[in-house]
Amino acid sequence: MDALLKCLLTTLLGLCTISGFSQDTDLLQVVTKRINKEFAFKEGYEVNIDGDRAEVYIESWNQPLIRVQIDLVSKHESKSTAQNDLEFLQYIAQRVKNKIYLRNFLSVPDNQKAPDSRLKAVYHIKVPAECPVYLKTNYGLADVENLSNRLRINSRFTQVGLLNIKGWMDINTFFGELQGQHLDGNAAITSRRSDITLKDISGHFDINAQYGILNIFASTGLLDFNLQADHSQVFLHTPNLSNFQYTLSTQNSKLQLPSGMKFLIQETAPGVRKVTFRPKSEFYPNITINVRFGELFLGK
Amino acid sequence: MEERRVSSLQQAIQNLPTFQAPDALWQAIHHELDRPSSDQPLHQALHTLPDVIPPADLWDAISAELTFREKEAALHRTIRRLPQYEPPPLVWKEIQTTLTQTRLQRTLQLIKPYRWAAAAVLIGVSAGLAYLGNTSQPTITYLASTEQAPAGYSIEINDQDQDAIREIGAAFTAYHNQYNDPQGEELIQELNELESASKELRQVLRDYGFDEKLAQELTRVELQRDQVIRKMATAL
Repeated sequence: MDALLKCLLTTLLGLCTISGFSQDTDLLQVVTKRINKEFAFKEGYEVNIDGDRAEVYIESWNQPLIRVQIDLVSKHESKSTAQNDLEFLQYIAQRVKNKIYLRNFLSVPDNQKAPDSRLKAVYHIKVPAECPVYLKTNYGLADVENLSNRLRINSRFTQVGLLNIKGWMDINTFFGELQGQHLDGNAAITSRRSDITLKDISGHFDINAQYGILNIFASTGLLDFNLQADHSQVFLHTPNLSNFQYTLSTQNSKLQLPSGMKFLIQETAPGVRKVTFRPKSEFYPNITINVRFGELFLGK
Repeated sequence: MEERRVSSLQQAIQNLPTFQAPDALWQAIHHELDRPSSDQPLHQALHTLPDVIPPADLWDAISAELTFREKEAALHRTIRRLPQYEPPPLVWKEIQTTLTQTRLQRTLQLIKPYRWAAAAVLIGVSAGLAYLGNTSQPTITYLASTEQAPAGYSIEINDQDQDAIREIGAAFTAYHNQYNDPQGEELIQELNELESASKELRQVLRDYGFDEKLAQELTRVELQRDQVIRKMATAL
């Protein structure tokens, strides 16, 4: 009898808990204003995107057109509140001379209450592969694929994903995350408080990172790699370790080197180490890394 | 034609029969003409009529009428003297076609000489529209849907925690100013940066509403800030 009573009470308690959790999640009314616009592409044109609390998806296609779809999204339990708050989310999509400007921003008049809804903008952009792109994005997400000219990114609190990017890259990230795969060209990356993961990188790379975790996977096409990392953890993976020339420098940092390679290690000052390795071949790519107050791991 | 009529008239006059008046009739006419005017009843009647002086503008009107008639007669005489031409059959055909055309056909006929200029204008306008069409007008549509809201999350920092962070920060700053800790400058800069980032993210979450990824980012920032605070507290 006691056991049955306990079982019933436990079941009742469980049902109450589930009921409590269910009441915590409400149904949101989602109202979207979708803007579609196209621009003809000509040589010399550049796309400039300034996204504020935005998700930006950029990909290439084989049309001489720049196709833009901007979704301004408002979510609230009340549909009328969502609709009213949507009007505070503004956008710009226009061409001025050779630049196509795309931008979203929050505009709340002084005499109006701040919006209660959850607001964001979503960009879907298709450009020719040779179209240069400048992307400035805050507090959101960016996915860029298959571009082959010039790409500049300036991001804050944003997750940035790059796939199959060729050419010239200039990336600046603050408090976010950068993930890149199949990057080939000349890349300059400045990162603060961001984690970076780069896979299959080729060409020339210059990275300056602070307060982040860096995972770098080089490919045989990597010609030159320079990394300055402070207060960061660096993991560098290369397929054929002995094909590269290494110039490594660590200050008050942990260092882990692969076995089986004859590195020349010198301690020039307390806590300061210099590590060098030169391959036997005549021509070789260079890897230069300087880590302060962090960790450096070198391996396959 | 006028000459033929004149010659025909003359011919007709010549063909008219001639009449000889008797001699007694001519004697009566001579007698009547020789009689003194005072014996003629018509002459007497005329003398008895009252004299009427017409207004001056009446003579002006009569004079103008006579002048107009003289000019008209002179015009007709001149016209008759002009050379006459028989128009070619094409002209009569054109006149016939014009008379039977509809209004639209007549309008098209009028603009026919300007068709090349019209074509040039049309091409120019089309080119302009095509250029402007490079920045086509946006199409705007509205969509509605529903989704499940995630569980609630408070972004406001606990007052007690905020006071503790402020206290440690102030204490470490005073400590560094006094003892010049080698890592002091860097730690203070880190704390300021993380505090600023935390405030910025909270404001964004208030402005744009709750977002899971941003909330996770805020958590990460605050964990880093907590590490700095612990380092400061350890140094004190």
